[in-house]
Amino acid sequence: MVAEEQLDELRTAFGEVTSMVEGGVDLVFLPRLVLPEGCTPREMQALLCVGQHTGYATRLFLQHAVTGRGANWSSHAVLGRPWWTWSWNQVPAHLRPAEILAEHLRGLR
Amino acid sequence: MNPEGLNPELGAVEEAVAIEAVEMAAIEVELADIEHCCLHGQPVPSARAYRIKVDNQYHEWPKAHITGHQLLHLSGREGRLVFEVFENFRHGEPELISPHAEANLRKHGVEKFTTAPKLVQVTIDNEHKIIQAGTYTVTELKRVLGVDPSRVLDEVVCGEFKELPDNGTVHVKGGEIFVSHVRQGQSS
Repeated sequence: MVAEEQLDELRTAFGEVTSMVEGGVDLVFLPRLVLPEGCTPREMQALLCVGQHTGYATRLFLQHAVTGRGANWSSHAVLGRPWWTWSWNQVPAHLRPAEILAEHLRGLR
Repeated sequence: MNPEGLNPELGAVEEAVAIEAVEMAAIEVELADIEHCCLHGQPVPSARAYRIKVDNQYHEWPKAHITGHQLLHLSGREGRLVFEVFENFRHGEPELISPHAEANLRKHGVEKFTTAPKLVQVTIDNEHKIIQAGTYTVTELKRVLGVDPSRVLDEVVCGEFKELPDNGTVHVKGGEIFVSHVRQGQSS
C-alpha cells in the first residue's frame, strides 16, 4: 500500500485521492489531473501505477488518449475500466508518488 | 470644467492648505528626535522634521506621519525579497506596520523602527519549510529550499504540475507547493 504521508502529499495538490491495489500493484486514483499545456483535453481522471505494469517500471494511465503530446498511445483495462497511456519508461517505483507523477507529466511536455 | 465640479476640488485644496498652515503654526522645534524623547519619557513636539531610527540608521523625515512603504524605502530593504516593518516601543511588543499604514511619529513611546524578513511557509517534497517571501530565480529557490541543482523543480498550482526552468523566476507569497524530481523518464 502507498504510505499515508505520501498520499497526503498528493491530497495537498489534488484534493481527494484514493489508493487501490490490483494484482499486487499499487495504484493511486486522481479524480482531476490537469495536464501540461498543449495537451487536449487538459483535465481528466488519472490512475498512477506506482509499480511495474506491462513491462514499464511505473505508468500513468489517463481517462482519455491525449492529442498533441506523447507517442504510441495504447488502451489498458485496469480496475475494470479502460485507461489510456503512452510509451514513457524508466520512472522507477522507489520514488515518491508525487515524483513519479511529475516525471510522467514531463513526458507530456 | 463646470463650477459645480470645481467647487469640491477647491474645497479639498483649501482644506489641505489650512491643515498645513495649522501644522506650520504649531511647529515648536526644528528637529524632534523621537528616540531621545522616548528614552527621556518626553512627548514628541511638533517639528519641522523628525529624527527617526530605522535599523540602527538615523534619518530625518519632514512629516509627523510615515508609511510602512516609506520606512522600507529609508531602510533600503525594497527589493526582490520582502521585508516587514515594525514600530518598536520602549515598553511593549513591536507592532507590524503594513506598507500602506501610517505610523504617527509623535505617538508617545515610539522609540525606533526595525525591519525583518517576511517569513512564509512553503512545501517542498512533502516537507514544510519557512523561507523569506519574495521573488527568486529558480536556481536561487532551489538553493534556499535545499534542492540539488540538478533536480527539476515543479510548482503545483491548482492541480497542475508546472515545471520551473532554472532561468525563470518564482514569486513566493506563502503556501506554494513544490515537488523536485530527477529527469529519468524517457520515451520507450
